[in-house]
Amino acid sequence: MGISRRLIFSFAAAAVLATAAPAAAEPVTIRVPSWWFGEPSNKDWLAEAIKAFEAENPDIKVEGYNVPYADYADQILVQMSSGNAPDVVHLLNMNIGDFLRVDMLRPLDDYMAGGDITPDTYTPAQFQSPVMVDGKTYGVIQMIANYIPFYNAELLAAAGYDSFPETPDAFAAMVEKLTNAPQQFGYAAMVKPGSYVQTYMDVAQWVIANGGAFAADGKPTIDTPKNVEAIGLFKKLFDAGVMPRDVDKPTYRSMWWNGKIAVLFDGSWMMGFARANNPAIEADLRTALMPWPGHRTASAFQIWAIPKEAKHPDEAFKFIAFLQSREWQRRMVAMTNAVTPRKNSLPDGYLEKNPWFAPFQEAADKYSVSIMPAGLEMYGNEVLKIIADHVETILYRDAPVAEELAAAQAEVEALVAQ
Amino acid sequence: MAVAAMTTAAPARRGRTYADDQDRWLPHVLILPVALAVIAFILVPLGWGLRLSLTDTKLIGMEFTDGFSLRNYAAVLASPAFWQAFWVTLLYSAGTVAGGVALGLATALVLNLDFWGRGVVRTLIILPWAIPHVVAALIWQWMYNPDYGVINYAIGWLPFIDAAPNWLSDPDLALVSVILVNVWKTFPFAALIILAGLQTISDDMYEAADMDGAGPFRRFTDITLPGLRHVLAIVILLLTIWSFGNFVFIFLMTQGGPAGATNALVVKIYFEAFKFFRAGPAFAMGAVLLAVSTVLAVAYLAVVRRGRHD
Repeated sequence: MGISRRLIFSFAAAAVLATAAPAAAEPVTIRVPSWWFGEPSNKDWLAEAIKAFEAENPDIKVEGYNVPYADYADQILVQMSSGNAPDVVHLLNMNIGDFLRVDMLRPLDDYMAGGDITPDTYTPAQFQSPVMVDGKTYGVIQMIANYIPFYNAELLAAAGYDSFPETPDAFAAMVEKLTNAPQQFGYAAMVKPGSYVQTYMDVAQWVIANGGAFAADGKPTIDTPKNVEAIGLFKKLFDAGVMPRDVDKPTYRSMWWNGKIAVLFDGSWMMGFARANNPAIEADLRTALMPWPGHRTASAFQIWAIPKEAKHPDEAFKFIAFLQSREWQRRMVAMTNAVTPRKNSLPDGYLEKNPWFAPFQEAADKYSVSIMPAGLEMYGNEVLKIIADHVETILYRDAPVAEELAAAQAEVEALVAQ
Repeated sequence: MAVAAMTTAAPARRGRTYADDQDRWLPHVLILPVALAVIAFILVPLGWGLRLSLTDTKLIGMEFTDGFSLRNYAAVLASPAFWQAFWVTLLYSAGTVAGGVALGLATALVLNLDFWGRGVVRTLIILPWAIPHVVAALIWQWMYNPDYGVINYAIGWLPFIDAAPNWLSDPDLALVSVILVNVWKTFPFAALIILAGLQTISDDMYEAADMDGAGPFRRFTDITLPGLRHVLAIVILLLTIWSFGNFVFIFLMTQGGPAGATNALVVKIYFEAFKFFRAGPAFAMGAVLLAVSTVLAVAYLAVVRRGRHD
């Protein structure tokens, strides 16, 4: 009887300890939705980084999951507004302003104080709107997505070009010469109705490269002569049939790595996509600076932010900071060919092995201009849609460029005045 | 006497049985789960949405500050963009209904004939209805592609076609192109319902008309169409209700473009709520759409009821 009492006591004690011990060591789980979890290279880099972060921080677990880019803002919006906000969100300089306008993001300055994300170590965009607004920082840039010509040297050589043109007119003449539709196109952009963000991004590259801007210091400048000139040239090429029509971005990108399109203005990750899908083409792919004097390059920034209602903001920032370390930024370049916001983050010998990357780095360092209209970031998507709708009217209804941009200007001015 | 008393006495009234009670409460119990689901997933969100349409909320479920007012409705109804989207919605619905009913009626008339392989044809006709919207949209997008699509390839053989049409990027063609896809998707439903209606019309009437010397057109206008009156009314109303709120084809194929040519109300509502984070005006537009759909639904119920009485 005595033995059985002792046994019962032992079991009870063990049970209490068994339940108490894991509770004390229960790691905090942070939720990180991102479209990178569904993309080649990016998902591998994130998986490696998470593994290393969890090993270094056994009290934190990262639950990373894929939310496709196209659905991202919708899904995050619903999660945030239903009180189920994730701990880290993946935004762009094109939509972070929308989230800021409705006061959904947490300032990160307290977390960043004393850290090494400073103007000396980071890209200037980290300290400008819309990442920094009214002196407060609302995100950390993870990647610079700048767009420069990615061209097929063999196709150019076949047409008699041994170097990439350096002026817009020479570029226009070359892509016309390279076009033999529908077998081959000289250039491709998102000229497909309704995709307003993509249409905006592709047209903004031309405007910015031409020295134009859709806004300055918060004032719309949509109908300036520089913009009219840039979009006029874009329209001329559209009418000349040098770009495949009604084709979405994934499709024309695959046409490019299959040798059907000579030039894209696209990001550095495209080399990884080309290698994965058609390794034979890699030897023919080259890059160049934008063929305009000044080489100005439109840049989108991929940003991590923390929702106001995040349950574990401290742990979330710890994870973000981990991804910004020099080690993991270098690893990101090595694995994904991305342009990093941290200065001097190229792995040793990377440029020698990947000479095509040099113009991306040079463009990011010297010629990068935010793709968002400066000072209008808080109106984010609405401004982009207004501009894209009027560009569509120019492209598809043959509306005069200057008149249509003036109409867009008036519409954005009215929006800002509201 | 006793016998007389037995024969004339009224039969003893049977007490209420368990079966009677069951008849009374069982339907309510059976319908309860559906009723609860309708309340939880339709009526409560609907009420919440109507409430938010009276506020200045930026996001769904987010706090609002300015109290309740009709300001969103006033702004929406005064907006030319709203009426433009409403007009596109009307055109989209009218085109879908006209095309769907006409093609459905023609198909049903053919399928009502007695011919070899009729069963197989009836099955094949259902296919567009059975194909998921997303798959259908992708198929049609490629068929419409100006450079690689099969439609331009086919019409390229025609001597009077000079330039390949840009089906989805020409603002004058885009709405028609999307309507055609919706017609293709919905006509099998119309055909099946109309076919069922055709089979309720007695052959005797056609035989009598034959004997009176009525030709095929006369038989169609004087017997078939009147016989299908209620069925056609139901099909028209159902297609109108469905196409009024149809989001998928427009969103997947044009997202309201090019240059707003297909910007129907549902697409506009989506952009307002989920891209521009302006839930109040989005809910107000949704409420207007709901009001129109409710009128159509009431009309549908009235037609169904009248059909029953006839």
